[in-house]
Amino acid sequence: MKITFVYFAQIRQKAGVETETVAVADGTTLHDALQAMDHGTGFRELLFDGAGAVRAVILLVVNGLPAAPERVLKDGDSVQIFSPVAGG
Amino acid sequence: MKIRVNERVREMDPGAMLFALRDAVKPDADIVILNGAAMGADVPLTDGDEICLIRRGEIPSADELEALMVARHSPGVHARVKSAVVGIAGLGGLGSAIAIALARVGVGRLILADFDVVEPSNLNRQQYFVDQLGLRKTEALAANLRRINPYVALDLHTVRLTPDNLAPIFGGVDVMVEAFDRADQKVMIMRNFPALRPDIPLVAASGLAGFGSEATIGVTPLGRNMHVVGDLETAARPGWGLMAPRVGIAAHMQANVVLRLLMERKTS
Repeated sequence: MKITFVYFAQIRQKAGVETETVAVADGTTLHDALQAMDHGTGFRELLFDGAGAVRAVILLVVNGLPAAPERVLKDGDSVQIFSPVAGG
Repeated sequence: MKIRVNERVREMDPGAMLFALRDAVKPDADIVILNGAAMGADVPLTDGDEICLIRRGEIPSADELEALMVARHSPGVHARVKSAVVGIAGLGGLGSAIAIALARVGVGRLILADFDVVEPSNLNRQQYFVDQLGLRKTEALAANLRRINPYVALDLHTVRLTPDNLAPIFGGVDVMVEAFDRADQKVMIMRNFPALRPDIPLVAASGLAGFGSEATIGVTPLGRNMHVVGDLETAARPGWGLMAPRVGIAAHMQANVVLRLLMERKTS
């Protein structure tokens, strides 16, 4: 099945693309799909902590609504990934 | 001829004089403003004149202030804004300025939440005063807002916001504002509020530190109902701090997004 990913700000810089469509196997979670991406260590370090968990400052949005990393993806899902920066 | 006195239209006979009008409408007024100029001498009135009669130190009634708001914003705009409820999470550089802007446009109810107190370092960008150091931000901001518009209803919550208390505090808002400083707290709101109220817009901010270009601050749509103000990238860090101009630009852009969303919302 095919999933569309849209990246914002510094995540986009690390990914090197604004959007991409990725083929994943049935039953793949959002966490696993992101772990399998091949965008280099900068991308991985931005998204994951040392234990491999998605960092608290990462916002995952699936089909318009926030989603947990454990979310099982479905064919045609659209995923947005955003990480706000400090300041207010 | 028609003139406006304290933003209300009034029919006058030709040849009517300014001070006679004052004596008839507000004899205790000690400042008479005609078409923007304070007047020390009596003059005849002409069609279309705008007169403001003020008694120093007197707080206008709710009706008088509303007449002023209606005149400035037009009746349709004011009615929509007056019936609105806006929640603001975080009362720092963003939240305090957003609250003031929304009080000035006459938003009917503001729900304000912050656990913190006013510190000296806040004064470089946050809408507090040196004599408010040490006060809770909720109470200090409420005092400042009441000096601007005493008729805005304020719900104050001096608490640390968590996923568990978002619903009781902000469950009934028309528009929600994220105005936190820390990135993880921003994500906490952006992750949990849309899950709680997917039908309600959330206006967030990211990327407003320093003194870089103001032109890079924009509004980015995210998800079904989120709007992120800022350049998305410029974080506060040592040597590149949060400063009043850029934080203020972002705050007022957030406030304008709120106002636009309130005007666009469907009302029953």
